[in-house]
Amino acid sequence: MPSRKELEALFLEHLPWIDRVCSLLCRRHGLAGADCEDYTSWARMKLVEDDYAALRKFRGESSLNTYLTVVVSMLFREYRVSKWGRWRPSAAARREGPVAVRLETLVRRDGYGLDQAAEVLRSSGDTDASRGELARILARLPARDPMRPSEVGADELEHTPAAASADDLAERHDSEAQRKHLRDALARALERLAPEDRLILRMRFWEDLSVADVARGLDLPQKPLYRRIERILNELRGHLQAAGITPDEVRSLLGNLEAE
Amino acid sequence: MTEPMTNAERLAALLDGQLGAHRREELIAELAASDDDIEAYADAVAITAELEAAPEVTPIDASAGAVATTPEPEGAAPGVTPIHAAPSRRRGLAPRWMALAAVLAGIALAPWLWTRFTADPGLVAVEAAALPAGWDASPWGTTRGAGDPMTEEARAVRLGARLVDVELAVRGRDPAAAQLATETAILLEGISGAAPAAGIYHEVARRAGEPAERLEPLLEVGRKTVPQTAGEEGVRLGAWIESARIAAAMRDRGFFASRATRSRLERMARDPSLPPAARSAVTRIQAEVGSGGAPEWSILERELSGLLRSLGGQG
Repeated sequence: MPSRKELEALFLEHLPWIDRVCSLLCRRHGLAGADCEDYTSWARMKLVEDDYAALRKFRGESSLNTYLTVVVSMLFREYRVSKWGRWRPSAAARREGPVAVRLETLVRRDGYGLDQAAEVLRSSGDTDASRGELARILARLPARDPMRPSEVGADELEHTPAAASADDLAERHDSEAQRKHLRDALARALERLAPEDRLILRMRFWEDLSVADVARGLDLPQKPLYRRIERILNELRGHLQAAGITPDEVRSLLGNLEAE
Repeated sequence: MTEPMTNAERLAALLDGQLGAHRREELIAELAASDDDIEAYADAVAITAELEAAPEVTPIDASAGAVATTPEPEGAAPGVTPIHAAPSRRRGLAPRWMALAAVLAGIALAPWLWTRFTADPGLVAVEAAALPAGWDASPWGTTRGAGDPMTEEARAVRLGARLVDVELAVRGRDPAAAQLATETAILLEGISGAAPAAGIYHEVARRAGEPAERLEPLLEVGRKTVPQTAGEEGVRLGAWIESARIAAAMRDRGFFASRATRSRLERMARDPSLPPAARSAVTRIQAEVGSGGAPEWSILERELSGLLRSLGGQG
């Protein structure tokens, strides 16, 4: 069993790696500046906690760098949920790049107006894009549900649209009911897939990993994975249609996925 | 710390390809049922690809008191008994030092470092760990033999493209690495005095199945000598266009949104030595990249392939 001193030396030896992983996670999730520093400090503290418990538990079944990468990623999730609930950058924002992730975080999560967000991004050197360009980026990102109430202050509530007319509410309700119906049908159809197939779709389309990354992450050969994803989508389509979802609705659910 | 430390190591073993079939199946089933673990694991996978592809990425903000340094090689600090770790099946995750007896005429080679690609910017400009699946590495058709006529400039452009292909094929342990390295050697054999450089790539072809870190010393020499032998400008141009083609195939928006790419395209558009057809292609690429929306990737791929064909001597 390594001593505390040995674990401490190991921690210090791998601190640059840990910090780099933290930095990349922050970039992936639109954290910058003080938020990123806060997370990095918190993660370091968690790794030191309980006499370097995380390092002590390492059994050598993987490389230490990979182990630390996974541990720090799990810590990031814990940190993120505790601060902001289940909010995450959308896959669309991630595809657009780090600027879009930051923009979405500022506007959709933190409630900044576009002008404010643009100012923040320009002054931090994240972008030199014009307001118009940022507006176009934002327009391509999905509308999001507001953050959980505990994170929204009075200022942010000012940005929340007031209730619409009764007719509009009814229409929204019908749309929400319809959306819920489709979401439930999709969830049930996904449950019918084999676990590995479900995981492939989840990582590819919801976590927005490339096919190469999905292959690496699941220890699968890459080349056959393209065809396999097509097959899984076909199977999913079949389940949805069997559940009475119309072809148009299926297309609207899966169309974005198949366009990847 | 939260409970799933055991899960962390199992997931790390999965990512390193160290899990046996049965344990892998168990873990996949558990992972498929756990939203929390999937999210964290997906982040870890995405991060790993970035760490491998761009090991010198500058953080958005460095943590206070921390400097983004090249990671130290895994191993014992003085006086510390190392925790045993299974060797990673995937090359490149653990940097290690390689001592090398001379490969060619006593050339000393740099140790294996994360900075191996960024030490020579402009060759592999795209962040990729392998060639894309089904990659068409020959936009100009069959590689000519050493004796076939080809301008010096065209040969340099093709060599630049081939250097990128070989690098990525070796990284990904792609079966095409041998063929690509052989074609590189054949191209070099058409240059007077380049036999030693050609010999490097024949050697790479012969050893193509080996881990990338073992071939790195050879590739390092190749990266230095090929531009000197074939013409720096042409080789770098070919390497950049090929990197851009691969980036387009990978739908890498970051590559095309970067200042470096925009600057490169601007320089090419103003270059009077580029043939008019090539400059027009560059203009079309600039238009696609600067359109403000997502680029039409098929157009980018087509234009970049056309550019490589045009400058690499199609026919």
